[in-house]
Parts: sequence; C-alpha cells; structure tokens
Amino acid sequence: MTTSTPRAPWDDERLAAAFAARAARAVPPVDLASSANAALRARPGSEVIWRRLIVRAAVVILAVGAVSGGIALLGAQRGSSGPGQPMDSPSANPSASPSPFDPWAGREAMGLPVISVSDAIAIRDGGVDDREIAVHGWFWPVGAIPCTLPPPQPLEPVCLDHYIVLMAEPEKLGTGGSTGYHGDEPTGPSFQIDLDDLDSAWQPALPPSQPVEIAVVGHFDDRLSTSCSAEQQNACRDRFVVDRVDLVNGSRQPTSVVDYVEGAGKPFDEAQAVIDVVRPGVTVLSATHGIGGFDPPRIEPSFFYHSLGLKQEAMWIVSVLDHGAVATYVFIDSTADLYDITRGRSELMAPALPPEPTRDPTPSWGPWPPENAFSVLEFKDDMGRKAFVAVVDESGLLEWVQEGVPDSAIGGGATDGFFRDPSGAHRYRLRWTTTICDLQMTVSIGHDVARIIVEHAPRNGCDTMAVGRELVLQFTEDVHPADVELKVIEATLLPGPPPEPTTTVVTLERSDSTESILVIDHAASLMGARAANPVPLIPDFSGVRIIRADDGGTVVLWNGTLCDRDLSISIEAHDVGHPDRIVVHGTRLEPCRMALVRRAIWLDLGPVDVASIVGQLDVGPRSDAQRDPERQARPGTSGVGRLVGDAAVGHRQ
Amino acid sequence: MDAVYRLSFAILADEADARDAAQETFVAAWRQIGKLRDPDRFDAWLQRVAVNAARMTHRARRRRGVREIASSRVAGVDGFRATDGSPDADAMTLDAAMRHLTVEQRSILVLHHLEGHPMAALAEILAIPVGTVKSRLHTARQALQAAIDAEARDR
Repeated sequence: MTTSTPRAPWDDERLAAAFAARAARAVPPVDLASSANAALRARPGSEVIWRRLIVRAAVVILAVGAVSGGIALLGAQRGSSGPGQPMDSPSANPSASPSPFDPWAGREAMGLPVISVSDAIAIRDGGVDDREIAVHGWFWPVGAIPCTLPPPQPLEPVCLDHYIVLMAEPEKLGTGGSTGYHGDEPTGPSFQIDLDDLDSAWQPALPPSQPVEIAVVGHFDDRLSTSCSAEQQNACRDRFVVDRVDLVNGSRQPTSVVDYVEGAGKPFDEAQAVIDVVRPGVTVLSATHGIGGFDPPRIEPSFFYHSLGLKQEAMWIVSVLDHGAVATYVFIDSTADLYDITRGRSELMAPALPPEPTRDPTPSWGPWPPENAFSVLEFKDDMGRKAFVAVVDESGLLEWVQEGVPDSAIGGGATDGFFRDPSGAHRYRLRWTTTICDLQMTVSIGHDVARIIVEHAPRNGCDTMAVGRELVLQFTEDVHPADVELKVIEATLLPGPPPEPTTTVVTLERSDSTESILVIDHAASLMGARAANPVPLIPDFSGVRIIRADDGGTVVLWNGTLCDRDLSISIEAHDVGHPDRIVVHGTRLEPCRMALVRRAIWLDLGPVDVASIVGQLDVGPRSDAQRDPERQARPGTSGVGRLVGDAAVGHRQ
Repeated sequence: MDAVYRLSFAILADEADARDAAQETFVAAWRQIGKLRDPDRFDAWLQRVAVNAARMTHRARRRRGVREIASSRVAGVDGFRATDGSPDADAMTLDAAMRHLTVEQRSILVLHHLEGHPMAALAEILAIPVGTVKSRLHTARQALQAAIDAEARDR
C-alpha cells in the first residue's frame, strides 16, 4: 500500500515554480544557430532576403565610409569607364535613344503589350496611373545587406532598394569585394522596381557576369503610396511594384508561388480553384502563403493598416490581373473564404466555393489518415478487431462526429444511407455496409453536404463478412438527406493472399517474476525480437514510444504495472511489409496498487522510419471475452530472474 | 537564442519540435526584423513569433503520432528521483499534464506562468483582446487542473 503526503493546491506560486523547474530541463542544442542559418538560406525567396540583407549591410558600410572619407560613395563612379559601363557600350551616353528596331514590338506578357523602359517612365511621369503594364528591360542583381535603418512603410525604398532597377540598356552595376559593395547608378533610363516576396529562382547567382533581360508585369502609383511619409511619397509613387516576372532571357517564367508556411495548410491549387470559381477569367500573377497577422503586412502592404482581424493562421495572398488592374485576394486556409483586399480592402467578397469533389469512382487511396481529416474514429467489433474511419469535412459544416449505435427507428433499420437523426437538431446518421476485412475507411463530406463519399483502403482478399458501419454526424446547419448523394467505393483487392501473422514469444525476467510477451506480426516484416536492454522508466507517459536503437533495431517502450497480464504486441501495416502501427495489448487487474514498471522490446523490422509508426497502448481492465483470441494460446508467466532474452521468430500459422 | 528555445520547449514539450520551432522563429524574425517599428517591444514581438512558430510546428507534426525521442532524454531520467511535492516532481506532473492541452492553451499558460506576462502583455503577444486573454487563460487553467488531477490519480 502506498501513502502520500498532502500536497499544497496548485496555486499560481506552485505553478510558476513547476514551470520554472520544467523549463530548466530544456537544454538548447549547441548547433541551433547554425541550423537556423542553414534553414534561412534554404527558404524559397531567401536569395532575395539575403541579397537585401547584404545590400543593407553594404549601405551601412558605405555610409560609415562616406563619413570617414575612406570608401567611395554610391554613384561616385557614374560616368566612368568602370563597372557602370554598359555592355558593349551601345548606350553609355544617357541621352542615347532606343534602337529604331525594337525586337519587343508587338510582344505581350500576360496579355499586356510589352513596352520599353522609356515608355514606362513616360507613363510614370504622366500623372497618377496605377494600371498594370508590362515592361521590358535589363536587370542587374545587387550584392549584399543587414539594413539597420528604421522600418519604413512597406513601399518606402530603403538602403539599396534604390539600386534595384529595371534598365533600358544592359548595364553592369556594382561590384562586391572585401571592402564592401560598390554600386553604380545606370547611365541610361531606368526606374526602381520592388521584387519583394517574389520567387527569386530566376535571378542569377552572385556575382553576375552580365545583366539579365526580363519582362515584368507591375504598376506605378501603388495604392499604398499615400501612406508613405510626406518626403517619401514621390519615391513610393515612382517605385514600380512587380507583380510578376514573366520573361527572363526569353523564357517564360512560372507563376511565383512562395510558401512561407511550407507544407502546412492548404496547397496553392485550392486557392487557385476557388479564385477560378469566384473570379473566372482573371490571371494569377503571384501567390504567397503566410501566417495571418504576421506575414501579410509584409507581403501585401495594405494589411499594414487593415488587419481584417486576421487570426494567426495560414492564408494565401494572391495577386491577380483583373481587367488590366492588379487585385489582391486572400484565401483563408481554415475557412476557405476569399477576401478581396483591393476593393474596399475589408470586404468579404463571397464565401468561397470550393470545387465540387471530382473524385474518380476508382479508389483514390493515398496516405492515411488524410492530412485534412476532421476526425479519425476507432471502431471495435465483438471480436476485438478494430477498424478506423477518417472523416474529411469539405463542407465546413460538421460540428462533431462519432460512432453510431444502430437504431432501427432511424432510416429503416439496416438500410444504408444518410438519414436525419431526430435526437438532435441538424443531426444525421450515415450508414453503409462493409466487411470485417476493411480496417481503414475515409468518409468525405463534400461542399454543402451535397455528396458523401465512403472509400475503403485497398486490401488483400479475405473471407469477408458483411458488417454495418454507422456514424452520427452533427452539423451546424440543416441538411436535406434527399439531396445528399452517397457513394460507397469498395476496396480494391490487392493481388495475393493476405499474410498470415507470425508469432514470437519474448521473455522478460525480473527479480521476482518472469513474463512472456507475445509479438504478433501482421505486417510480414518481423525478422527478430528480444527483450531490449534495460531502460529507465519514462516519467509521465502513458502511451507507447517507438525509437530507433543504435544497432538499427526498433525499440518499443511503454510504462505499465505488475498488474498487467496477457501482454502482446501487435505489429500492423496498411501495406504489407511496411509497419505503420504497433499496439501493445493487455489486461490490467483492478484495483492495482503495484508500482509502475518499464517494459521494452527490441524488434528487427528492417530499415523502417520509426517516426512514421504510430504506437498505441491498449492495456486496461476487460473480460476474457473481449480479449484478442490470438492471445488465448499465449504461454503463461512463470519463473524468477533478470531481464533476458532472445527469441526466435515463430512460424506462420 | 536559448530563451526562444526554452519557450518553444515549454510549449511543445518535445526536443525535436522545440528545435524546429526555435529555428522557425529565428528565420521568421530575421526575415521580418525590418518591420519591427518599436524596438522597445522586441521581446514581445519575438515571443509572438515564437508562439506562432510553435503553433505551426505542432500543427505540422501532430498527425505523425509517436515520434522518435532523443536517447539522451530517456537515459537522463534514470537517476531522477524527485521528492513528492517538490518543484521537480511538480515539473514532471506538469509536463505530463501539459501534453493533454492544446498548443494554444499551453502557449498562454507558459507565457503567463513561466514568462510572467500580465494580461495586457499577453494580449499584445497573442494579438487578441484582453477580455479574450482572460477567458482563454481561465479555460486553460481549468484544463490544466483537470489534467493534473488525472495525472495524480494515475500515479
């Protein structure tokens, strides 16, 4: 019998002390800084970021140098024969006029006629004109930066933003060296361009050997110019905001899609599909995936002043070409709503219309459970066999879902279908017939609950027995069952017979007892099993941990008690040979006053990714009738000793 | 840098995830430091970045189920014998209880009880109204107490 001393209540003071003690156990990795640096360099768009950072640093260097008189000022070499000299010197004279033969005449970019830098400057200087235009010119990537200047309004050019320009002629600008960056202004016509948050993959590596010929789509007089400081208003208006780099050295470029969220949230395809539905005919210029309230002000300047009450969630910010003008849409991942930022900025344009499910009648089984699963339910049958149902809600109307107990009063008893459940408002039953061999299913609820699709995982053939499955679905709105199309896609039978499980007995010996643990391999992947080397008790953990052993084996760890009986480990797999779940089964005698004990089994599963294997502890009080029948034949426990044990793999039954 | 890691670890309770989140924090902060208008608010701003990174890391990892744990962590607890009711024992209980909470609940508890931020600062860091902070903190405390009680029963 155990005793315990009375504890003080968990007040703020005790909680703070516990938090502090807990935090003290966190030891920062020694290579954190270097790994962060590596991650920064590996990000999409990071070349631009690094380039800007380096340029900002260079500005600082140059500014300091200017004060001391030791470093040449930017532009000091203008007009010299140094690096600022145009290639082939066709227009070293700033007054040189464009060639009478313009190879770009008649060409288009994104449906817009491509004009020259000089023509674009004429538009810029002709008054406020924010129409979207396509301009052809030359680009020289600048070198280097951290800019320590105060943060400006997003459009205000700082540091070497002044030297990120589109030129009429192919001029070389600037050189980098150990003493810093030396930049030159172009001698020919040019204007500043803003390339922030566009994919920089098209830019040449530094240092460049020659200017890059590009055609860009963008605009002057961005609507945020009025928010710039008074002294910077003209600079902001004159800055050409590039929405798309369309041609580089004659090659058409893909839409710039920069994902700062990196894999989390919805893919760009979904945002594109929604835009196609709501705004058919518009052309996407560029897209960026960021975190609400955090990235958007940097990506789309209007967010600087209009937060829209954005939550800290992922969203796509998409610039489109709409009737000759640029418009910005925001697609919120969690809601699939689309906002038009350009028109009224905070206006909700319309609830987005996700594309209709276009699932092919053939099974489209992929990684399971789906990443966007609303819930994954576990069903158990009388034989203790488990089946799992993933529910994917594309309607956004599902409030909760749970396994249903068949009720003959609803929907005519055993009839499959989708029925209203009178036990609650907006509550429904979904019922379908499957087999006991189908252990993984996905239920997809389409937009407006117009269609529900039940898919079964591909499986090996087996002696099937029909079994009914039922879900209770609680929606936030009323749904008309008669309007819901229910489609049940049967499982694809894989060639070959299902593997028979193998059994292996592993013996754990303790100072005062011996216990045998049955290892049942349903995945046809077990090549050996034994007791693992002694491991300490894992504090505060009630599940199963699966770790990689130094020798390449897989170790299954869990905490239990000496009251646990009939322990077995079940190795399961969706794809034969690729274990994806390890379940520890057992029965716990209650009440149990025994101390916690650690258990660890070493398994040879080959070169598996242990992080992809789900561990599950299924040890609890239950009757004999509920136990896995496979364990009924397991050996008993006996003996005294220490932790030992290799065991041979059993033969297929 | 250590402070960011410790904050990430306090929220995520996982070495690998904390490392990833801290790394994400540095990357995001490095990218956006130019947008910080008031340098006096750097700490709050950076913690906001860190909480966001922790949330996104948790979101990306939560479906992976059991993940590999550092062997050092398993080995390191062998000699750990905390006295019942001591801060170390409470830390273990707290660690287990926190795993039952959502990452949002963990975040607000860590920011309040570990970092010591008052309500107004929490509102700034989490970008939510003070009233919402109070509500969320209250709910998180209730959830934590329930988890602690459950842990105590299991011991």
